[in-house]
Amino acid sequence: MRVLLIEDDDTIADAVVVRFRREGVHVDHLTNCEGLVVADLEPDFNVVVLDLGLPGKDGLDFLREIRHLGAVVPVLVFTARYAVTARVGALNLGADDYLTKPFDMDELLARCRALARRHGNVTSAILHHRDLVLDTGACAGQAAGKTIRLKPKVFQLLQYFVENRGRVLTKPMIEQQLYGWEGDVESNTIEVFISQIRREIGADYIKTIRGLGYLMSVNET
Amino acid sequence: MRSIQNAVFRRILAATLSCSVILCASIFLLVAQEFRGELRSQSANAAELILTIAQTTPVHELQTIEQLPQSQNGAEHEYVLAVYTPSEVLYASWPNPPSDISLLDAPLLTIDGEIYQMEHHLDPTTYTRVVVGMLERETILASLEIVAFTVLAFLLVMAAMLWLIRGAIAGGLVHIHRLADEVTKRHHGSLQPIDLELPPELRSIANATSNFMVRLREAIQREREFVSNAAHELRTPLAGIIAQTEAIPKAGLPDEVADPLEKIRQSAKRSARQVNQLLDHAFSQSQVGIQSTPVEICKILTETLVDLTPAADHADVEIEFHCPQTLQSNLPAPLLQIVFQNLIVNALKFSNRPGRVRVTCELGLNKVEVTIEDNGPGLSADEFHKAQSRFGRSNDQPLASGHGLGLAIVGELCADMGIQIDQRSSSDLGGLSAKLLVPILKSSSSKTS
Repeated sequence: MRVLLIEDDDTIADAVVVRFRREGVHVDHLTNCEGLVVADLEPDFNVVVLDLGLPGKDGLDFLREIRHLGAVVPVLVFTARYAVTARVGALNLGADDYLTKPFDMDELLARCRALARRHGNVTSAILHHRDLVLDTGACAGQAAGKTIRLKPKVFQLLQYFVENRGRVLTKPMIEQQLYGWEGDVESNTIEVFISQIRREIGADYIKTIRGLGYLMSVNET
Repeated sequence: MRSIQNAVFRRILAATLSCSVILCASIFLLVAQEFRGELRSQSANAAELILTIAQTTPVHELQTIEQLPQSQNGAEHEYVLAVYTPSEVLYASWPNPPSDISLLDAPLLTIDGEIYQMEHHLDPTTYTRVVVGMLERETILASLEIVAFTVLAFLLVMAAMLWLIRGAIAGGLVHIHRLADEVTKRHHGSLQPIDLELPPELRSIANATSNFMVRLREAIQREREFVSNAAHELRTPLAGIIAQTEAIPKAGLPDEVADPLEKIRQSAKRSARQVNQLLDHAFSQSQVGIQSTPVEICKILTETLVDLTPAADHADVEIEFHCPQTLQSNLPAPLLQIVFQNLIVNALKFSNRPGRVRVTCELGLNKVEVTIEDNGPGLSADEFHKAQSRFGRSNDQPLASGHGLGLAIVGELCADMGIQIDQRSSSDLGGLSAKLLVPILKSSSSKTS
C-alpha cells in the first residue's frame, strides 16, 4: 500500500511515517498541497491522508478541487479543528473517512487499509491478526495453524473485520460492504455469517456489541 | 400589564364618559329650564294677544264664547284661558272658575286637581287681565322628553365615535402587531434582520434591532472561529506527543523507559479529553442563531457509541444499546451529541472493572427517554447536582481519575435545550442511572434492525 501524507506538523508527520513504514506501508510526505494536481495522486497512491489545517491552500479547498476534477483516490481527512462542525463539511466535500486529532495510530493505519481495500486498488495482501493469517488474494487463511474453510462472502466478511479491527462495524456497514447499496439481504444473514466465522476461528475474535454491531478488538489477548 | 390598545382606549373612554356625564347633566338642567322658560314666554305672548282681542270685543260677546270641550280620552287640557276684571270673570275656558277672583292672580292655580302654571297680562287702562295656564305636569314631562331625546342622541353619537376611535387605534397599532408577530414567530435561534415595511416611528426600532442581530451574529461567528482555531492550537501539539509515543516500538523497551513513556501518553490523552470538553463547552455557548432540523436520536446515539466502543473495549467495559424505535427531536444534533457523549464517557470512566454500560432510548409520555446506566459506584442526587456546577467533583472520586467539566456541560446544555435530567441508582447494574427526557418531534412505528 502507498500512502500520501499531507501534514504540516513535523512531529505528527514524523510519527506517522515511522509507524507506517514499520508496518510495511510506503509513505510519501508533503507539508502542503500547493501545486499538487490530480495526476500526481492517481494511480500512484492508494490513500491520501490529508490534514485540513494546512498553510497556504486549505485542505478542504484541495479536497473540493480534486473531487471536482474527478479524482477518486480515497481520502482520509484528519484535523484538530472542532470535530462536530468540521466532520460534516469534510465528508460532504468527498472525504471518505475522518479522524480527529489526537488519534490512535493503530486506528489510522487500520482505516487507511480499509479505504485502500474498499476502493479495490490494493492487490492481494497477507493480513495478520493474533493467530489469524489471511491471504486475501487466494481467499484462504489459517487460524492457529488450522486452515480456515469459509465461503467467499463469509471470508470477505472476516477480511473486513481484520482490516477494520478496533472499529465497531454496524449491521448496515457490513451489509453495504458485502452487498453494496442495492443488495437484498435476509434479516439474519449477517448473524449467520458471524456464527460461521466463530465456528472456524473461535468465539473470542469477534465481540457482539448489543444494539450496535460487532467489534474485532485490537487487543492481542 | 394592559396592551397599548386597551390602555389608550380606556383613557379615551374615561375622558369621554366624564365629559358625557357633565354634558348630560348640563343638558338636563339647561335644556329643561330653557324649554320651560320658552313655554312661559309663548304663554305670555298668547296672553297679550288674547288681551288685545278682548279689548276690542264687547263683554257680552266674550261671555258667549264656549268653553273648551272635554277631551275624548278624559285627559285634562294642557292649556286654560281666562279673561277677567277685578270684579268679574268675563271668560274662563274651564267650567266652574273660582268665585274668588283673586285666586286667578296667583302664579299657580289648581283646577280639578291639576296644577296649572299661570301667565298673566294686564291692561292698565281697563284693569282687564288675561291669564293663560299651562298644565305643570305636562310641562315637566315635555321638558324631560326633550332632554331624554337629546341625551340619547348624544350618547348614541358618543358610542359611534368611540367605536370609530377604537377602530382607528387598532388600525394605528397594526404595524406594531406586525412587528411583534415577526419577532415572536421567528425561530428562537434566528438572527436574521427584520424585513418588513414599517412606518417611520417603528422603522428606527426595527433597524436598531436588525443591526444588533447583525453584530451578534458576527460576534458569534468570531466565537466559533475562535473555538475552531483554539481547537487546532491546543490539539495539534497533543497529537504530536501521542503520535510520537505510539511510533516508538514497544518490543524490547526496558521498563524504565516503557513506563514513563506510557505515562506521557496517558497524560497527553487526558489533556486531550479536557481540551475536548472545554471546546464542547465553548462550542455550545456559540450556538445561538443555529436553526435545527429534525434529527434521529437513535442515530446520534449510535454514532456516539460507535466512536466510544473501541476505547470501552480496551478498558474492559461492555456496552449495550437498545433503541427499538425511530424517534426524532427538533434539537440541534451537535449539542445532543455533546450531551450524550459526556454522559457515556462518564459512565465508561466510572464503571467498575469489568464494566457494564447500558444505553436505552425509548418513547415515554410525550418525551424520548434516554437512559445511561453503569455498574460503578453511582452518585447521590446531591452529588449529581453538585457535579453539574462548574468544576464540581464528588468527594469520593479520586482526583486523578476525573475532571469536573463533563456534567457541568451536560447540565447547562440540558437547561438550554429544555431537556429534563434526572439521576437514580440503576436497579440492574447498581451504579448511576442518568435519565434524559428529550422533547420529541415525532415517532414512527418503524423498528431499527
